[in-house]
Amino acid sequence: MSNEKEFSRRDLLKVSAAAAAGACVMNGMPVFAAGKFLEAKAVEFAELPPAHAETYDTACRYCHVMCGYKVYIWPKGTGLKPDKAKFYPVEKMRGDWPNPIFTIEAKKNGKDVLIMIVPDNKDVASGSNYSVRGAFNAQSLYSEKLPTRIRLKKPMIRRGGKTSPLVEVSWDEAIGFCADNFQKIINQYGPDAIGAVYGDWGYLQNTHALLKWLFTGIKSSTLAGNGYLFWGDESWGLADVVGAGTRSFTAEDFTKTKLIFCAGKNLKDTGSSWYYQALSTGGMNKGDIKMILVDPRRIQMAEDAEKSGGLFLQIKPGTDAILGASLMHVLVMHDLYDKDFVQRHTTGFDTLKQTVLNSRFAPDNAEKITGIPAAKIIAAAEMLAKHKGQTMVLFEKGIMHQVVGYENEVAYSAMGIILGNAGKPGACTSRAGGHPRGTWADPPAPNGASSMRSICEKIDKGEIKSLWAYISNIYIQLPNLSKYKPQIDKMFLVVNEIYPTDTTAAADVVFPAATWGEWNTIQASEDRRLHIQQGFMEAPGDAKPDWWIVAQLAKRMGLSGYDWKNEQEIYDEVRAQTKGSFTSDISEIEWKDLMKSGTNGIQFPYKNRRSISRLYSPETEEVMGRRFKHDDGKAHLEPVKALADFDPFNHPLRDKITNEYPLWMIMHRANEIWNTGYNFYNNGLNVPLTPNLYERLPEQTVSINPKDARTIGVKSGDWVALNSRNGSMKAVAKVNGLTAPGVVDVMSLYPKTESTPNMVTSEKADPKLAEWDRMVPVNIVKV
Amino acid sequence: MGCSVEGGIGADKGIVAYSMFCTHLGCAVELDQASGMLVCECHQSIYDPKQSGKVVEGPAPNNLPMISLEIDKNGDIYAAGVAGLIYGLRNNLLDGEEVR
Ligand code: SF4
Repeated sequence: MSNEKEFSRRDLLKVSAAAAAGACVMNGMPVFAAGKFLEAKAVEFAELPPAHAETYDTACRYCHVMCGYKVYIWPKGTGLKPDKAKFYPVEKMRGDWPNPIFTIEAKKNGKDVLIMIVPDNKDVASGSNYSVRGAFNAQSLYSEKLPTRIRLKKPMIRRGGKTSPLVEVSWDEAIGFCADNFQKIINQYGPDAIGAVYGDWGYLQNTHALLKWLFTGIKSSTLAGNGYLFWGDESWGLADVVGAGTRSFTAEDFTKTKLIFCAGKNLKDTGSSWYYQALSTGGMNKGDIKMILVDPRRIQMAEDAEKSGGLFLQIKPGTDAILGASLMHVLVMHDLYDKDFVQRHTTGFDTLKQTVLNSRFAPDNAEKITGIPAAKIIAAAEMLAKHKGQTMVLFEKGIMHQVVGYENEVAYSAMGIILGNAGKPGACTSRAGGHPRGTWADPPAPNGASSMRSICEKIDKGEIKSLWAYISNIYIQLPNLSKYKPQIDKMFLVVNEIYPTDTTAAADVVFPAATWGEWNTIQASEDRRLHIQQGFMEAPGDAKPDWWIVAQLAKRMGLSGYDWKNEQEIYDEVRAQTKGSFTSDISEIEWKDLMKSGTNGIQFPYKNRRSISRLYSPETEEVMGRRFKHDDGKAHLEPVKALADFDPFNHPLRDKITNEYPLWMIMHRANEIWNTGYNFYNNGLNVPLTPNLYERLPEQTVSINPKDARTIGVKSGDWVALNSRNGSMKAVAKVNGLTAPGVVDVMSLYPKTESTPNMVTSEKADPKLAEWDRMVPVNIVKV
Repeated sequence: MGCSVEGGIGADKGIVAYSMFCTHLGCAVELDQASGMLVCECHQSIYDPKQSGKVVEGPAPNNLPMISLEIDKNGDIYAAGVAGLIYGLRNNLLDGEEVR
């Protein structure tokens, strides 16, 4: 990084600090000169949707709630003028109040139009709520009047190899160039030399097209999803217990439950509408719902948990399996579990009992490892017992994205099940959810599971000659970028993108992609509602849907089976393949049903024209013939034996704390930044894309406990470097009480290259989970 | 505010006023004495009254509309304008009818 860039970033911070103290108004809202109030010119909407506005249904693409939104489009100048001062009654908390930022100016069919995207008051999943991410849905649409004007519009290639410039070309030339190069590599090195890293959320039609081409077309087994290093199952631990890693609850459980047990998930910042429903509609803020929060950070949810009459268990990162085992120790020791449920719906309880009653898991001993006082562990177990069959046991990536993710998942899954928390109103044992689901058809890898090795391992061995970054910004998402970025730079790199990024800058081929709102995309929420997010506007320039790009390439390479005329034909191909799937059968859901389903979508599994709202419920048994996904219809508790000798800090793949690297760096998702921050900040041109959001988080920050800050000699506002055995990243220090001494916390996937945590992570991955540790030993120095 | 802030009036330029409706869903925001922030109890948006109502956390999409104040020679304070649209309104005048 040049000094020039460094200084400009620092100056920016100073300027924004000064501006923050001095500015009268931000966010581009109008300012009015002083005058008597009633004489002041009214602040008002320019236009509101007229009766003749085009209307579309969509769902937010960011988090797993998939809040429902209405889209209105009308020719500029033909909208309704706000008549007098109509108001939306505040006591009704209407999400459909058309906040001015919900409307943008764009072009459609060459004409100036206004597009308004507003939360749908009839949406069930969100309770007509929304988060700040969804609030900017309209602002992140393509428009020449917005920062989004930098969208990629033309295919680009480097005709003469790495040293030649990226030049804009026709689709025909770009597809031909890419197909020729892929074919040459396959001929010389075999199909596995072509790898793909894809965003598994990236819409049903796109993910299907890529997997079909890669696995059954060219027959490569070199694939990684956006969250992992190869085609593995990050829900392996949960799946071993209940049979599948799919989320099993339904949205209304967040208001029906009596207790939420939440570990490794900031539901407030990453599943906001569901959290708000529990908090406000369900009455957690009045103690009607209690919460036990397990987190290494004292976040707002910790205060909420305590206020609700629940508990905050501030855990040492990486030790969740010990806490889960200790909770089971108390539950089993004192006969506090649900005996009837265990007897009727599980196998392996004796194994569980034998394992968890070991004195290593007695609360006093668990305290030494987890850092949670024994009395709190006992109180948590008693609270869980009191609300057995009424508790949502939820966990997510904070406990999963670790090399000990399997053990963590098994412990919490078994704990939830022995309390009978499955398939009942307000009760589940489930992953909480991250992004919406975008992959259905799971074709097997061509040479079997053994061919699926870590993409980093294959790079190390020089086996990968070309990588396709597909709906995935690999220079933010892959681990240990300090090591792998220079190696990937040298490959034949193909990138599908909507914006110019650090990754497209290194590419040999750049395919401009059409995205959400530009064609009929399909995703599902994590309470399994399948949505068509209707296309309502044109893509910029020559940008095309990713599935279309794959189809052209496949056909150019002489492959057959890619003659889809539209996105519906791919959907029909995919849904047929899900027939009989216990958790994911969408085979009977027709396109026309989805188009008519409003913003609510259709919940699956769906059989005999009936949606199953909760998995592992009596309803599941009735429709699918068994209660849990395992063939015997039972939940399995035998996997708990994996905890018998489990020692979280002596896992062979876990990096060690030493004097040189004395702090655990952990990470969290910021409320304002979704995925790779692709709609937040553009790291290709170094410009904010949604400036109003960006001004809230203009730099990466690292939360440091005051005790550690004294040892290191840093104070809030200092720029620091975080150094690991793998590399280095930069952040602004925030000295606070968020974490305990010995633990520091940064934003994951912060979209500035020099400040993104994957500059310091390690690529050592669990052989089945495909996960690398997001806990990294670091040291911190002031820069 | 106890200190001078942009847009503040009075001898120390420390008197400010804001809309009390959160820009997210219109719940009432209240001053949290401990942090000095304006906090929405419903969904926990937090605004900084020292920074012209800037959102510092939560689902609120916009800053909290700040009321421009005027002080006359008797020391009486008047609301003189508002920067930003108040939640629920289509303009910042107070007549009109409910949207159903
Ligand atoms: S809560 Fe999730 S789905 Fe809803 S608006 Fe926010 S990001 Fe979108």
